Amino acid sequence: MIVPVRCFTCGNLVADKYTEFQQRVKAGEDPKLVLDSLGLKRYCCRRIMITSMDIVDQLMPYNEALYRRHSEFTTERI
Amino acid sequence: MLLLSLCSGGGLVKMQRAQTQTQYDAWPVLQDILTREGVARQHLNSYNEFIQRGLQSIIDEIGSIDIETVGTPYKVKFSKVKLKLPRVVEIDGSVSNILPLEARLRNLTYASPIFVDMTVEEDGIVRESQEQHIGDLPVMVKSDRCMLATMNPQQLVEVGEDPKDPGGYFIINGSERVIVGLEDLSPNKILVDYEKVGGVTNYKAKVYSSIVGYRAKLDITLKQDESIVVKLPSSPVDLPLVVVLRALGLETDKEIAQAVSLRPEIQDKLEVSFEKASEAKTTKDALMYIGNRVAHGMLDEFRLRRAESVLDWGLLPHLGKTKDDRYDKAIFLGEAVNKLIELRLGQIESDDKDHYGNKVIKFAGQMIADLFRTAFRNLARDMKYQLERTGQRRGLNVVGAAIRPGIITDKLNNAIATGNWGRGKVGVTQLLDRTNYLSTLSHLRRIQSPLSRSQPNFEARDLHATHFGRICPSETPEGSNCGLVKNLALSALISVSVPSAQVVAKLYDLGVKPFKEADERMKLDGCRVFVEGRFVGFVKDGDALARSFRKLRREGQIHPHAGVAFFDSPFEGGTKRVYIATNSGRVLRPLIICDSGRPTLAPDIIKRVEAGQLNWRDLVQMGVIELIDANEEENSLIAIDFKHLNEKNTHLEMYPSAILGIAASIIPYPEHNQSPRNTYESAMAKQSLGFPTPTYPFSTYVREHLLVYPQPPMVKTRSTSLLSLDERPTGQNAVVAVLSFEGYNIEDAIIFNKSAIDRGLARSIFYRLYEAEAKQYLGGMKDTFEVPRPEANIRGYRGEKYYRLIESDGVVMHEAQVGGGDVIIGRTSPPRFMEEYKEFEVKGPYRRDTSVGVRASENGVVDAVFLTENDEGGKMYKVRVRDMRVPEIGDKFASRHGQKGVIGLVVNQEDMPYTEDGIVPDVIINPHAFPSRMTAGQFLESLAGKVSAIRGKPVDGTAFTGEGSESLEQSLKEAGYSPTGREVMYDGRTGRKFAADIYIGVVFYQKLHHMVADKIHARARGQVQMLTKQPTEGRARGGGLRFGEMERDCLIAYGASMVLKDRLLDEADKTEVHVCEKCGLIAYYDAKQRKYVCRVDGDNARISTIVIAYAFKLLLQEMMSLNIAPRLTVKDKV
Amino acid sequence: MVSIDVIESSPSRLRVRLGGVDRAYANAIRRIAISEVPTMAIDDVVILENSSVMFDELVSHRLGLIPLKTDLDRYNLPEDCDCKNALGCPKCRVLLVLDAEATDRILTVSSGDLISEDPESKPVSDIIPIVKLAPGQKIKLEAYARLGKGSEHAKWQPTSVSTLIETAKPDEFELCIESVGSLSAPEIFARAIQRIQQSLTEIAAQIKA
Repeated sequence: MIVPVRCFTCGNLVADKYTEFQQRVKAGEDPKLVLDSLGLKRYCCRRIMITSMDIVDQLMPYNEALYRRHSEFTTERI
Repeated sequence: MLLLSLCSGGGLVKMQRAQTQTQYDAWPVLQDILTREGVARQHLNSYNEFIQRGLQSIIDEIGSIDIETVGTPYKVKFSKVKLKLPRVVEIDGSVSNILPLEARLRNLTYASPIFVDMTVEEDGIVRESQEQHIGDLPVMVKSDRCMLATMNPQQLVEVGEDPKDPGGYFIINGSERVIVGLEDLSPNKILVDYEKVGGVTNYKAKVYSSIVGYRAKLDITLKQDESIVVKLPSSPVDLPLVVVLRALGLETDKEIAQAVSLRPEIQDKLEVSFEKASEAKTTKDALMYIGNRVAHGMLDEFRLRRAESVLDWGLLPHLGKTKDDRYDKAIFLGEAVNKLIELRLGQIESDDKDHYGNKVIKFAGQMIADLFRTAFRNLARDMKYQLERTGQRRGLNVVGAAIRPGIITDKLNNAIATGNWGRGKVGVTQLLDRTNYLSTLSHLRRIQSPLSRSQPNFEARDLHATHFGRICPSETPEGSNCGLVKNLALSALISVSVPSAQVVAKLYDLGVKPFKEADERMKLDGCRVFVEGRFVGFVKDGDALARSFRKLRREGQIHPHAGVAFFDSPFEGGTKRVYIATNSGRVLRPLIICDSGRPTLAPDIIKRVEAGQLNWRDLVQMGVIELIDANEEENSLIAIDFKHLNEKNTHLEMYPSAILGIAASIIPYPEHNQSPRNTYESAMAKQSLGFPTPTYPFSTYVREHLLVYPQPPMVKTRSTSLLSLDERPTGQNAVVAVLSFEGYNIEDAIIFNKSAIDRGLARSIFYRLYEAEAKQYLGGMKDTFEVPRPEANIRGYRGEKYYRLIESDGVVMHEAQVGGGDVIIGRTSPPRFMEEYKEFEVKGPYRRDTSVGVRASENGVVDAVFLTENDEGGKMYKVRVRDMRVPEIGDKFASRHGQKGVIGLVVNQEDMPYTEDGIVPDVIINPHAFPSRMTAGQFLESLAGKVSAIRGKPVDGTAFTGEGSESLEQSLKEAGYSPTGREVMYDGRTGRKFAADIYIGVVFYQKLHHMVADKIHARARGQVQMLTKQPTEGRARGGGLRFGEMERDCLIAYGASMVLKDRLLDEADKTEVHVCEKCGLIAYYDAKQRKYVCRVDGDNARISTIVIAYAFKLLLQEMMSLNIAPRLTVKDKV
Repeated sequence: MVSIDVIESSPSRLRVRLGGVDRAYANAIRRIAISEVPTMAIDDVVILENSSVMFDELVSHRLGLIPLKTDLDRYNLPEDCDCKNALGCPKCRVLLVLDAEATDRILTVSSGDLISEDPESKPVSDIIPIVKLAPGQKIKLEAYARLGKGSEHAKWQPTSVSTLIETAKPDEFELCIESVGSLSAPEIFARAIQRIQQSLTEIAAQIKA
């Protein structure tokens, strides 16, 4: 769905670092160094960061399309 | 020559290093092929070909129907066929175009109406012309006729479709059906073989002559007595060869012998055949000879006509069906006999039926063509019958009224919905597997063999050298279907049919001489040339012809799917032959063309493909890659990789791991595993839960699973991203330690960390859809959705508490917690038979409760309610119930190496072993899982998983070319870990250090859809079957657990007779039966007279009551019904 | 001779060297730090409205896993609380509310949007994403947090790391505790020892009786 709140393995809070991680990697930083700087030393937490994916993002376009159609529909009726 | 290496073994590990050393990497080309074409291209091409050409050719084949009425006979001519857009016709007659989403939701069929231009002709004068609707053709999703084919991803999202859906399936009554590719012998090809039956060797030549939707098998046998006979599908008896040839118009013996061969040793073998045909000296005699056998005892003229039709329609129809084609047929038959005799003389080898060059794969287009041909013929026959019955009246209105589109629509729909193709062919279609994205893709690339799975067919099941790069060596089911069900390799492409006329013209330009023009010399030792099963002539140097043909193809003058193969016999005297294949359904694979030891596909071209400046079709046009079928591959020498490329090689492999199929290609380091393990994983990957489709919030599949936090694997293969499995993962990366744990992980059990489960590891959602529609019945009665009320005279009322969740519209509310038996859709129906209540019912009309309840063993939360209307105008509800599945003891998991197991124990975090860093594994597997199974790939994956986490990016574990263990070890060392992958660990319960270091790393685990929640079952008392009064069977019916024969044997052996009686009688189907002691037959108690009655002995009877199993009582009565009198001898127990 | 040397101490991480203690005792501290030291976590969620694509169970599960700052002196474990009320009282539960709606853009609702009735008991971070809303979607819920123990559910575990490592000397161990943020690492350590003492006293009393 969206990033897990905690590392499955150790329970460390990781969700609050995910957005930053993503942004910095996208900006071209070495993911290894980003993870280090976020204080994620253990491979369990690093795994969550590397492999998490927001599948919700794949669902959003459908809801956005629905919303657009809905608002078109309501404006037409008015 | 062909090089083949199996997946396992060390040889290829070395190859891996070779690949990494040389930088030559043609993967981008392969990637371009698959992304551009999509995994379902073979289905789409086949279907498109059918709607573009097949449909019209089937209609043209009938052409017209003659209506023979008493007065003025007339003709109805069929001409142009048109296929309109998919649509639905509502109950009120209104028509609207539909999209797949609507078809799925409303249980409609996604089909297009077929229109044919029809003309009424009287004495050759055209009266009227109009297009008429003849039926509906199911439309393949994403084919040319599908509305989705031209939409961009954004538009697809707008219409509620998954942009990554490959298409290639049909939607029939709302369910997705795939026509699985069917393997078949090549059509129009002469295949020779011999068979030994009890010391007698028969030589046989077979030809499956095929035209669109029709196939006629020709069998030529060279018997023990050297006579040659021909078997035709329309003739009940074998016909002597010479008679057939003579009937085809070759009158003289010389002509006949020359049609076979000019070589004396071959002509000699025809002697017996000539002797056997002495009674038919002329063509007319020969035709009469055939007529006497196929239409025995009929008029001369009629016999002649039958004989001619047998030859024109039943014999080699692919060469034509008119009188003019008979010469070609004679020549073709002659060649078949020539090949047969060459085999007899040991000049050529017999053809290999399992060679992929002798096979084609039939997909949806061809399969539907078969059906449509018969359906359209039925329609035409029905039209003729109806029009002749109506008699004098004619004109298009009458013709229009005589068309019953249902004949075609129903035939097609029924066949695709059930998979029954007629003539005993069942299981042709299957429900599309939507377990996860990978299983959908794999399902669309599946190939079935028509061979029976109950027979051994050892050779047919074996991996054949020609499968290399075409069929996956790993992905096949275990058990009865092993080797019969196959899957296309990533590199496989299926040919489309190429118009052969153009190809033939090119051949004549290249110096091929037609049969009639060829001189004796050429006929004697020239090379024979065939195009698509048509014998087109002779050429001096076949090898040169093949080479020039290839050159033309590379220059783009010939379609890239046309294949050419030069055959030279390894033995003395065999005729040389060149086969040019233009048919559809051959499995092609792309190869890099090499020229004097260098690949023509230069690295900079690959770079341009990678950058999107070129696509793979451009490369084909440029002549740097080509598509090769299995026959042509026999003429090539293919280098396995860049390093092994030398001057002699004609081609270079595109990419080594592309020999694998969809499922096997996701296994990391498969070359380090024992090969059956990869096969197991290929099967299990299709059962793993993940993220099947982004349309799941509004999808209406009957069962659907969704992993809550899916993760793409950290150890990837190249195909992971190619197949979009990065966006549609099928599992999670778990920290796995290899360690025994208190015996709770013996026999492949696995230990889970409770805290990891609490935090969301392997959590999944299960969706089940319940549906109900309001049907309309004859007489204006209909089902209604409502809350059934006890006072309303409802039969089958379940009790108030079961209806508590439904609201006044008869349906549950959103997010309601539902459990077994709760009604979620309330519905009442009228009585089944109208008369019923008139006669017996005092209270007047009643209604039946036909509500839909949650399955007895399931529970969950109402996730979505869909309200819609089907095409019969009935209201329809679909209610989706979701259930969150938290991993528990008994749930099944597997790594990607065929290592499956169920959870044996869930352990608290503080009790789990920990490393010095404080890592507590999510999963503990037993070390015994490895030595005998030899899945070293999992160890490498574990190592690579750890490295990936350290590096912050995925590691490539692609077969043969993945990152090697040396560099993984190096990375581990640099990060301060042991390069062995082991770490110091402590026992969480005692705090004591383990004596050995423990192997721990990150491994991708898949949660499989076999969960205890779906299987757990126990029963104390419950339902019994009506017929036998024994407990019902199966979980869904709340059945008992069978106390079977072997269990019974245990009790007998132990002597526990009371337990035995308790299980098998008292707690099963105990009954009391009254028996007449005199006659031994069953008596009864008459409650009115208050006495026991025996129908045989009347008042004399002495009746006693015995206890027997109800099943035994039933047996006695069934025997009685067969006029057997089973008599029981009853004695008092002492 | 029992000795405790602090090697490293910060609110998030504590490393101590325990000398002269029994392995069983040292390991008990480690285990109790994981499973017996209570923390605050959301346990009961009343969903008033949720039109997001993420279903209720998932949202609740995520809410539960958000670490909340915990003041152990202010709150009682529900089973020890004198209110004896199934719904709890201000001394044993905290109400947090969430009310968010996406208007015309995708909105990520995060832990910062949770409004707690007790400003001290709030998420340790404000940027933990809870749910993503598409335009027009809404979420409204009441969440009740309470104290609980790690043995019941992992959301109440105060530690992300709790290890006991052998050192070169016998009878000397190194204990490392890393906190998830609800309690400071030294407090977890102290509470764990307290908890052992309490259990031991209870056992001693029972043996005597």
